[in-house]
Amino acid sequence: MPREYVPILTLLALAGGFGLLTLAATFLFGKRRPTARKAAAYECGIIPQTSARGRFSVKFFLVAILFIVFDVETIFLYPWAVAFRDLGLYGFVVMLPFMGLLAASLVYEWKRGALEWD
Amino acid sequence: MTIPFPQIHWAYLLPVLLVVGGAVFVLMWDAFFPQRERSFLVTLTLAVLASALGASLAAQPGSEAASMGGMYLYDGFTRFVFALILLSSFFSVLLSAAQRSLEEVPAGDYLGLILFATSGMMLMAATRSLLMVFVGLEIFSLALYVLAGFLRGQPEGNEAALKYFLLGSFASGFLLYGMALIFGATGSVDLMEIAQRLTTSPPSRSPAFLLGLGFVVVGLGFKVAAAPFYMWTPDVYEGSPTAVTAFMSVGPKVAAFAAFFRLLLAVGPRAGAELDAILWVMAVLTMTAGNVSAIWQSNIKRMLAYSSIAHAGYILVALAAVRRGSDLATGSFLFYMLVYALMNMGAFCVVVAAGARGEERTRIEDYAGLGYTRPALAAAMALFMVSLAGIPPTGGFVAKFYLFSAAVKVGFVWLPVIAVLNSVVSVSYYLRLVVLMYMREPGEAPARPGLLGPGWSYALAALVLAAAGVLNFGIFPSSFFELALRSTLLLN
Repeated sequence: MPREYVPILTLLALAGGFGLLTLAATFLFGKRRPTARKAAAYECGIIPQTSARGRFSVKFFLVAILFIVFDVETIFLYPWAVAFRDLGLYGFVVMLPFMGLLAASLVYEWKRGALEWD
Repeated sequence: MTIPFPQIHWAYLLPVLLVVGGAVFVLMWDAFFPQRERSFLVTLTLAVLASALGASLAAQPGSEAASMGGMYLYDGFTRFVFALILLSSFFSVLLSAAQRSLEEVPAGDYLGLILFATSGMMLMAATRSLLMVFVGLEIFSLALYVLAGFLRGQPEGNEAALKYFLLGSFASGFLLYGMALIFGATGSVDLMEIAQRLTTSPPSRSPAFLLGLGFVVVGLGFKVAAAPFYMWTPDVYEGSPTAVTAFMSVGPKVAAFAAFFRLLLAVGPRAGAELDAILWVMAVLTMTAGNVSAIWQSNIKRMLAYSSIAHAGYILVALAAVRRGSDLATGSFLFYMLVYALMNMGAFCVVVAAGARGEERTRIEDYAGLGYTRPALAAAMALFMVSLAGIPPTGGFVAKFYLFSAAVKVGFVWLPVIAVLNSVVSVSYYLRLVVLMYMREPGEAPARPGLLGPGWSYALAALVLAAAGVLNFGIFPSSFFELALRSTLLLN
């Protein structure tokens, strides 16, 4: 039984070792010439406008929650779509209640005004 | 390649489907028609729960072949547990409708969450697969985290919800990690297959399996509020709306104990004596911690929280007996849960009804002289307290008697003795309330502002139902106990 886990352990060791090795190598061999621009926070290449520690509206959180509906949908639909032909009519029918439930949750959010920004 | 599908047995699934469908309908209705009378939604929810109860009683327990690959198991045990869960949900909907502070909340959201939580509890109790246990547990836990903080304006409610959420998700992590370890050691998440692997090749001594079993016990122990994982209980019970507290004190316990039962029946006889010791210590710690702490409480919801911890301790006695292979223990567990559901719901109902004229009465001092100002309510409370303490002729006595005798029959000596001593301790705080109600003058001038709230009829119905049940099970227990005994498990 434990032998089956050897590949996983090897992968873990390789992945972790690579990360540690790169960090150690840059720390030992890299030259450090810091400038103000280099030391600034990295925001996808855009020059940061304000501190990243500011507070922002809870509405963004709501959008993230809304996103979950579609996220879950995609996670389920992808493997389902791949195996669709093998699943046949039965597979199609059992997916309908799931889609219905997701649609219901979206309608609920809509009706409750979660999609209105103000 | 064709993928095989399990055959679906609709009659067995019907109770769960009804509850889920009802939840979606209630949510949708409130989203589309938020201005309508909320009594319609309450009636609808009660009807959904009653029809689910009818459907589960009508479905004859199925065979192994009908278990959908072990994912959904409808045996006699499931049927009894379904009845218990649906009954407790029914009561909490009645209490919610009677509670003043819940009048302003969106009824669809609230009732929908109660129904969703109910479906999760049912799924958790009716499966042989560890994964389904986890899914069911998460369904009802997430709903309960929201319900605990449903009165958003109250800081206590927010505290309760956050505490419950943080600690609960931590416990869920334990549970899931334990399941993963058990899967790693045995190669299956199906309890029956796990039991078979344990007999053929004994990995029961492997550290991974024992660690996994320990973690699962921690996770389930948290949900049933067993010592030493009960610290969240008093705070959460105190801060949540009273109707939600009543719900939390019965439904999730029934579901988690049911899953615990199935786990112990599968792995218990083969997992060695360590489990015996763990259950023994947990039971003694739980009942002692609950009873001793309850004595010092000045808030009635905290007192009932500690009392529910103590009762979880008594039920752990049945669990220890089940591990030793006692059939009697399963029946007495089911009967105990039935009586416990009724007397606990009844006690919370009195708390709700006592606050039905406005201010909630949560301090124990508030109940001084209730016997003179509201005699009927005080009499009901006295009945529930006597039953919780386990004094005849109430259901609490009979349930305890069956439970402890089951433990004696499998050779436990000290465990029942300690349990009985604990019951004696518990009399002190249960009867303190009765003494307060009847032997003290009402503190201030008895406040009688206005009429009862519109929900008084719901409170009355719940009270009458609970009181009748507690008395009935105390005086004529045998028919229901027979029923509990016959509610056997498929997996054994």
